[in-house]
Amino acid sequence: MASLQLKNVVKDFGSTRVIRGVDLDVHDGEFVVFVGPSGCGKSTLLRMICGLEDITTGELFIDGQRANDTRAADRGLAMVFQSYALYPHMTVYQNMAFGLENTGVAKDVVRTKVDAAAKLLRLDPLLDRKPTQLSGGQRQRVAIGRSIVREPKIFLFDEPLSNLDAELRVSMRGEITGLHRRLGATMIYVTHDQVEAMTMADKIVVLRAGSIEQIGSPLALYNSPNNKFVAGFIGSPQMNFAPVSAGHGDNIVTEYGQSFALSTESKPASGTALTLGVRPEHLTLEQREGALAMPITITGVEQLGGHSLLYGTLPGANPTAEGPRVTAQVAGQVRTRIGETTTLYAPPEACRLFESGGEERAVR
Amino acid sequence: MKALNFLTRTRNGRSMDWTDWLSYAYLVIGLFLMFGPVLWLVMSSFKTEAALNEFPPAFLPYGQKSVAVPGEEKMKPVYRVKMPDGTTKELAELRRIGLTSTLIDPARPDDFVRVNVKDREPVREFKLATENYTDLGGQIKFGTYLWNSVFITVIATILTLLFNSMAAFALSKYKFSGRSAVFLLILGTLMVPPAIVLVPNFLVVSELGLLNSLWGVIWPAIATPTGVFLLRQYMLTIPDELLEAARMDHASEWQIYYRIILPLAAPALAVLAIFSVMWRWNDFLWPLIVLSKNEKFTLQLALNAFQGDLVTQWNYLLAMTVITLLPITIVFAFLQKYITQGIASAGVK
Amino acid sequence: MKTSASTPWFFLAPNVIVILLFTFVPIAINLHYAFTGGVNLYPTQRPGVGFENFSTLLECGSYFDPASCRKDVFWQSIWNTAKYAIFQVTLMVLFALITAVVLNRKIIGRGFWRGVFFYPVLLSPVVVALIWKWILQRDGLLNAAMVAMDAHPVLWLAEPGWAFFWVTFVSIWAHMGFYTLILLAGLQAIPADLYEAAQLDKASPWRSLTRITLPLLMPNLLVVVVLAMIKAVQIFDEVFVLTGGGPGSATTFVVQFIYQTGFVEPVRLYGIAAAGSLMLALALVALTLLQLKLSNAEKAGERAK
Repeated sequence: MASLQLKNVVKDFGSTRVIRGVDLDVHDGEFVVFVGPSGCGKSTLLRMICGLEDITTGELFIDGQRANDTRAADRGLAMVFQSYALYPHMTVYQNMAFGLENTGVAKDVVRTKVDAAAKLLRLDPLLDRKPTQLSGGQRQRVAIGRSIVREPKIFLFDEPLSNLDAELRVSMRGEITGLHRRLGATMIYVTHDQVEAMTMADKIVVLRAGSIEQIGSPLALYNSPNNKFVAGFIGSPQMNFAPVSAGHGDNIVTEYGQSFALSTESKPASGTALTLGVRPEHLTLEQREGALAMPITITGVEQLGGHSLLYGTLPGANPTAEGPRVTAQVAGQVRTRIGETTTLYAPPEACRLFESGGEERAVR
Repeated sequence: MKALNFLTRTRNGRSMDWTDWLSYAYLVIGLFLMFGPVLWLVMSSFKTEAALNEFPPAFLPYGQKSVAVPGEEKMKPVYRVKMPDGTTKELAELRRIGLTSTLIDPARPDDFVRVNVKDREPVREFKLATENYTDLGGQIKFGTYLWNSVFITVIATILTLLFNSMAAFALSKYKFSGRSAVFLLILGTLMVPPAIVLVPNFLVVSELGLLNSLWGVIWPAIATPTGVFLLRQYMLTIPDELLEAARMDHASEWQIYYRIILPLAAPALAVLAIFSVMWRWNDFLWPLIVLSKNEKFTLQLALNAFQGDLVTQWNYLLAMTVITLLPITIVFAFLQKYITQGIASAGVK
Repeated sequence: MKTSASTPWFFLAPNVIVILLFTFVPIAINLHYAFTGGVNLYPTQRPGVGFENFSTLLECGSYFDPASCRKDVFWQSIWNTAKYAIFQVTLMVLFALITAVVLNRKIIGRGFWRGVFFYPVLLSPVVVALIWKWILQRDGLLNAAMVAMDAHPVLWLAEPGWAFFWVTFVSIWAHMGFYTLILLAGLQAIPADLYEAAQLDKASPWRSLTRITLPLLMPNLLVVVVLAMIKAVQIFDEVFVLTGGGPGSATTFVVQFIYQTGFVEPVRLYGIAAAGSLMLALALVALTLLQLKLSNAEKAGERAK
């Protein structure tokens, strides 16, 4: 059980800076998920915490102790690798016992610990099998079991579910969060899948290009993203964006000339270009008081029974230009057909506004 | 007709056309040419010295028939004798004095027959002259040669596997400055076969006091570039995450090498082991230079020394040759698939 | 991962030390030998002679007439080696190719047949030489066959022309299987659907061979030729046992010249032997670089496929 702090941590590979000054606090018992598109540095950051990569500058504290120069094995962490990294020539038992044996733990103690972990993960009938004789989910559990027997201060997971099929991924998600509850251990989990992040995390760290974009609980990120990137990354289907400009007072003017009231704290000057963001699930087909009317041409319809997805385009700034694409998720079944024009309504409380340049920070 | 159809059916079910006939004819001639000489050697090695000197030679080993004669300790040779009355009989020869041979019928030991040696000819039967083999132990120091060959082959192979795999591990799993230089250095020795550095290597080995020592053959042979290359290529396919997992598991670098990398590289190690056994068992030029004392000879050197003798004792030489090719043949018979696959994939021999 | 910088060197050390000691130190000494004279084995006690060893070897009335050279055996051995390399490599690769093509057909018992042709490769050169010496000796199997066909027996290894022929033949016999195997691997890498397509295009077996198999096999074929060349110029073991280089110097090759100059002659001229081996090394380096170039080209070709 432990806490972890990163202070202005930087990583350079040669002349390329892949981690650009990361500050992070992970509290005891927290389940923290690093999420971001591939190449954002999330795995590198995890490997730096683990000790598999050097920290170029900055400091790492585990339980308040500076751990930059501690060997990976001595940091008291356990890692579950993306490929599981099970030793193919050893049985499940030997795989789980290897680390303990290396540290000279007595044979019977090893036996007890491995058996306990195996029981916890329902691996007890498989202890004599080789990894190649196991299914993907079983291998995954062995990899986790190998971590558990080491009784680490912190569990690290590097995209552990990416090699499993969709159904298994859902059930393993439940197993890992269940494990977290039972062990009460601190866990750091890396994924590129925002659904995993949303469903598993106590705290999500969104990374992009080696920097942290936002840290917060899943719902905080969903409800109030710091910027356009986080808004677009969290939530599925992705948030819709449309270029707008600030009008007089609290008014916002769309490209196609519609104007409606949307209050902001910063009150941008009239004419400032902004980006309007609204999640597909907040759009409705019913007209509502004060809502923004969005006339769209339907380009696709997906009927899923319980809800439907409508795809379409907004009118552009002039009649020949194609406007931004819009997705709407509406409850129930619809009669809309491709090629028809229909109007969607965006309630003002669900509308976000972002700066249209620079860091694309949220202004509402 | 049906039988012919069956026999001439090819693997994909259609019947044979002329290209198939040609192919099989080629293969059968190949079988005759490739195995024939070896078979001839094996057959000859079971012939007595007398049979070996016959011309034209017989294919199968024949020896003179001999029988036990009552009252005589030794077996007596059997001859076909032209009797004075014109008939022929098979009789055992008791003794021969000058041109007169004394023979008896073993069934009637009291009747002696005396004939001129011209009137008798030996009766021959199929007989394996196993003494060619059994005498090897005493006649010549065959056991010593065999031991020398086995010692060199086994020790050199173990050291080759150890040294080459350690180097391959370093070259495939660590990043360090000088890595490519070392790799090129090792590969470069491919261009320096023993023949090139014969004289100076002789100096080095003699300065190390290894002349006429089996170690003088072993040490220069073990750092094979082929082995390093083969193992490195294989180890590159072992995922680095396994090593990282092992490091997290408190394994030392030596343990990673010994307990993770070595077991996982077993297929490549097996190929290299087969190569190494073949190389060292068959080595000739370098041992010829280092080992000049008879009691240090390997089988290959002993064979060469024997055939160079003024009077070649072919019966022993042939038996020794058969024993020398036997281990390789047995290994080949069992591991043919792996050997040919290994060689085809590595492109080395 | 933080590992001590010395760790890789710990694993490299045994192999590298052996290589330095038994390859690179000897190369340095060899260079020294080549430019020093006398019969002393110890480098420090040998007087420098500049290029004398080389000029001794190269002093020749006509390079095409070994008898006119100061080191006639050296030039004889060079011509023998050149002649041998050309004949042996050409014939061996040709037969290896034929064998590989036959083995690549849909034949019954392919594993067995492949083994038949490959088996001699594993035999030691000494054993190979003895097998054939026993057949080719005066009262051997071959002469028995000659007599049976009412021909005169021949001293196969005592007549220069025949001795050279049999040396070439025996080495082809012994090594062909190896090259067959490599070519067979190359053939098997050619996709089967190409042949099926050719069949649909009504191509005769001969045309599929010359228009599909051979062009696609060409990179492998080139590598095999160079590889065989590298081995051919180093020929020694089986010839030494089979003929001892004779009759006269009819089957004396370059490596045997080096061996005899350095280890057999009553006056051991290490400088001459070293100079000779440097010239051999030059040929080997050239051939090896050619091979590396070809196999890189082959790999590039495979990627393009």
